[in-house]
Amino acid sequence: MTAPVWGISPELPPVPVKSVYRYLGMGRAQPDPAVAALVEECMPAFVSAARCRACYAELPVRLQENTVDFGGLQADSASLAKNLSGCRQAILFAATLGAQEDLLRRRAGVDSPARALVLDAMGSAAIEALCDTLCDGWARENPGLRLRPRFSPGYGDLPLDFQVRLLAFLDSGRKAGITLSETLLMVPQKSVSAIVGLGENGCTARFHDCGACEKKDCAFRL
Amino acid sequence: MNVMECVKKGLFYLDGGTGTSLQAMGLGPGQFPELWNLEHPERVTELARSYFEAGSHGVITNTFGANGLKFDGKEGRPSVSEVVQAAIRCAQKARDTAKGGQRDRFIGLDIGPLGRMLKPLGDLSFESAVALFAEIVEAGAAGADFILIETMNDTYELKAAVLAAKEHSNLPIFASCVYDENAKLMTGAGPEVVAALLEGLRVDAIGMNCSLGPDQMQKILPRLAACTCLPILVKPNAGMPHAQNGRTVFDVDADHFAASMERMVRQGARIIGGCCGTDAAYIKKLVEATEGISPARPAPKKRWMISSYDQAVDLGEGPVLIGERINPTGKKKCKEALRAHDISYVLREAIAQQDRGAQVLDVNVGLPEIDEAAMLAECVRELQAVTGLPLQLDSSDPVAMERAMRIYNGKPMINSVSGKQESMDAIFPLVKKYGGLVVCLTLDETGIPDSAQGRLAVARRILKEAERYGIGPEDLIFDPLAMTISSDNRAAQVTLEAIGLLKKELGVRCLLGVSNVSFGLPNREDVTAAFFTLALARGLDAAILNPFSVQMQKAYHCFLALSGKDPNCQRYIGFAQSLPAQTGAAAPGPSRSPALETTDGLQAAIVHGLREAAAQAAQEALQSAQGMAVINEKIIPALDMVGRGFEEKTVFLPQLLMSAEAAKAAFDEVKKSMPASTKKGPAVLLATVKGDIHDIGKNIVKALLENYGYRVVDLGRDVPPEKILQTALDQDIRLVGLSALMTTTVPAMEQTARLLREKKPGCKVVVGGAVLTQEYADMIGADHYAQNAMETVRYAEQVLGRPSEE
Repeated sequence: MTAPVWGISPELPPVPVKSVYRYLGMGRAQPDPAVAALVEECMPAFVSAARCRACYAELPVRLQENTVDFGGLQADSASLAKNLSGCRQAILFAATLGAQEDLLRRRAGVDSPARALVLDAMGSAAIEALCDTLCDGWARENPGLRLRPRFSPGYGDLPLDFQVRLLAFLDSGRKAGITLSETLLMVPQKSVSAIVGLGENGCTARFHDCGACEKKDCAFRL
Repeated sequence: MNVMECVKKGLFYLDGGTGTSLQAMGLGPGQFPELWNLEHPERVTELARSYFEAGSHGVITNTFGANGLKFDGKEGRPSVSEVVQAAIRCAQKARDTAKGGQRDRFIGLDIGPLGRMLKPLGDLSFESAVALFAEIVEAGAAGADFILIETMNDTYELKAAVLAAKEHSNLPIFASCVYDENAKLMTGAGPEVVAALLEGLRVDAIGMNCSLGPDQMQKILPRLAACTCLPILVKPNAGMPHAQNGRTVFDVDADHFAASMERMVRQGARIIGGCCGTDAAYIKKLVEATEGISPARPAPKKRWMISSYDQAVDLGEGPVLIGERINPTGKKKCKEALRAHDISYVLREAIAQQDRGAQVLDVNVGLPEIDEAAMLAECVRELQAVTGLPLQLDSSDPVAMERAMRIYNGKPMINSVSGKQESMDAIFPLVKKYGGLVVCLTLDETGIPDSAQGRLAVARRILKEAERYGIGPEDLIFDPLAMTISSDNRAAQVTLEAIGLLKKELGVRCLLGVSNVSFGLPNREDVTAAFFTLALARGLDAAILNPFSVQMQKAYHCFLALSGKDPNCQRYIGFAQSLPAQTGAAAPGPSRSPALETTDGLQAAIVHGLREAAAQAAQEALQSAQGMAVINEKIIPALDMVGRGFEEKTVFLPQLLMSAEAAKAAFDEVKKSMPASTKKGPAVLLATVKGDIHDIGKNIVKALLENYGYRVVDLGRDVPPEKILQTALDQDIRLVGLSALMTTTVPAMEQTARLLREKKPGCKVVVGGAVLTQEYADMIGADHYAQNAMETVRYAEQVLGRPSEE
């Protein structure tokens, strides 16, 4: 029996402006009027260029010490095993804002690096918001289960090149238009792939807890 | 009977899904279906046979992903030719052993997307893509009757696949794309855009498959049918998938599928089958429900299409404005930019023309001292990465023209062919191969005919010669040539008369480069605009002009309103309101911090990042001060103020950049006031290293360095170490800035740094990028790690000195 992989076209969630400022490196600082005006000015073009796509599969999880077996896909990673401990299922997914959003940013960069920067921050904020929305939906579909924090290739000891197998498994090119470059960069740029455990207890679904993160010198730390 | 005869005769049935059917036979997710050609040929054959027996005329090979990126013949993996030839054998066996079904049975070589995006979105070059597709065609064409290129979501990859198929086989080509609910490909093209490209490339059938069910495709079909005369292929999924008892079930059953397909046949679908979720039962029902129906014949289209990656323009729906600014002839700045290999100048001109309403951009980079073919190709590549406007490729060099046509992502305009035999011999074969809409100059070996009748006669000859290549009048637009009235008083009259004559006698479309007419006269633009209006009144369909000219804009908008092409005069009103472009010195907002207090208008505009205000304040400052004084006493101190604020964390990156842009606007004003100086600031080379396609950080550094007076040699992204070294050697660069985003591209950075250290000792290397740290920088042997853009500027000051103080 094979696990189905779904391709979907979710709506773009509202872009959280506070996150945009955070990705602009402004922390909690109040934006000055010129920056606020630029963000406002960029928003309509951004919204019309973003075309969300995602693909996902809900899979059984079998854990052995340092190995996670999703049935048809295995990962050697102690950190992922730790993240998924207590989970009998997980959702593997990839999501993107699409290629046209990339092109919009590229065009803006021709005569305004500031605009390109703002669009870039918007893209980062929006793809995270999209992932949150998708996870909220899966949480609703699985009452009684808690979602673990998203875990992506490159986190902990899960090698970045796990991405190749993960995206092949999800058939992400065909299902969502998400591909990899030779150097494992995701194309389109504003794309995310991750594994989300579904557990009966344990960790909550707080995804952006800067206090819990070990990277104390992060430019985006709040 | 061959494939195309069979298609011409009536409905042509294709097969159903391959991947989903093989999954139903036990193929797991993440496993390559193509491997089964070698591991389980009996199952692949069985599937194909089931389709032939269900009534398919054409069954495609199990080669959707059989490309060299996956099957490289290394480390025990099979090669492309092994996989493809095994697939052909399976299909042939199925065809030979199937019982019942159609009398005429064909095998289609299936080609799907490569799974890697092409540049500029991804890292795969166009020619690499062509080569990968060619490998598949070479391996399979001999055993196939036609080629199906399917599930394409990017026009550029589609073009690469079609070219490979054309260059490596003589088989009919069916080309099919995957549309989303909004009838767009992933990269933004709608059916009109795809049809323009594919008709230009002269494929044999055009269509859509996958992603959508038949009912959603039915909504897109009328648009496709309205814009193509080619046979239409429709291969939908069995609706949308959902889960049922842990299995994937599609929500459209075979009966529903057949009924929907029957409706599409009546709307013009001729080559029909199914994609994901459909199997032999669907095809059987499809055949039963539609056999004997004559599909609607496409009506001949009166369209003059050109296209880009996401836009199509119909020159029959004019008048169309073609921007003429990317052309060195008579434009000093453009000449300088091309000589200095300053592609960003070309891109800015493109965007600025687009903002002024240009619908097509002419691109001419012909200068005696540069390699025109290389430069034109590079400009086309860069332009189509930032603008969706179709391009008009403008060159008299057939070699440059072919290279540009080949890599152009769409169906271009070609400027130009003339009635000279040599010209037609050079250009028409290219149009036949790559597609294009050609500007035809009504002149020949004897020169430009004096009379309108003479020009009409040349046009007739061009039409006739084009027809020999299968190029119809919808791929031609005629230029009756606007000559200078100051040298020949009748020149304009003859041209205008010729427009009327060409349209009346031949029914063709007309275009003019209007600017020539006023050469040598005072207040040229007034004359040109008046001529433009007269030509429009005669039915001119397109004009090559300067979109920055207010007079031309006025003439155009007035004409649209007066000729009834502007409902409620909405466009005219919008244009008129935008006219008194009085930006005014926008009042600076509240200051950001006490350190940024300034009472000077220019400085305030820079500090607050107000572009227009900065330009205007600079103009005012120049009335009472010398250019150098404005730079040294106002602009630079204002930039310093912002730069220090950034370092003290009272100013943030977006503000820093907005100030940089405002300062640049002020610089531009000052430069206009000063005699052209040959003095250039010290050079800094910037590049994003090989394998890395993210360049926003590099572009930020570039903007700031330029602001501080450095000459930035920007090599772009994904730049090989050798190219960086060569440029550094050629231009004797003393500082190289490298950017990388991910750990996977740091090795390329290390390699570049090492190469520079060995071959250009003394050249400093500064590195930056999301993944970089001081430790990484030390490890790879960089001279300096810059955490942000200002740090790079400071390091440049340290290494090269401060340009403004030299």
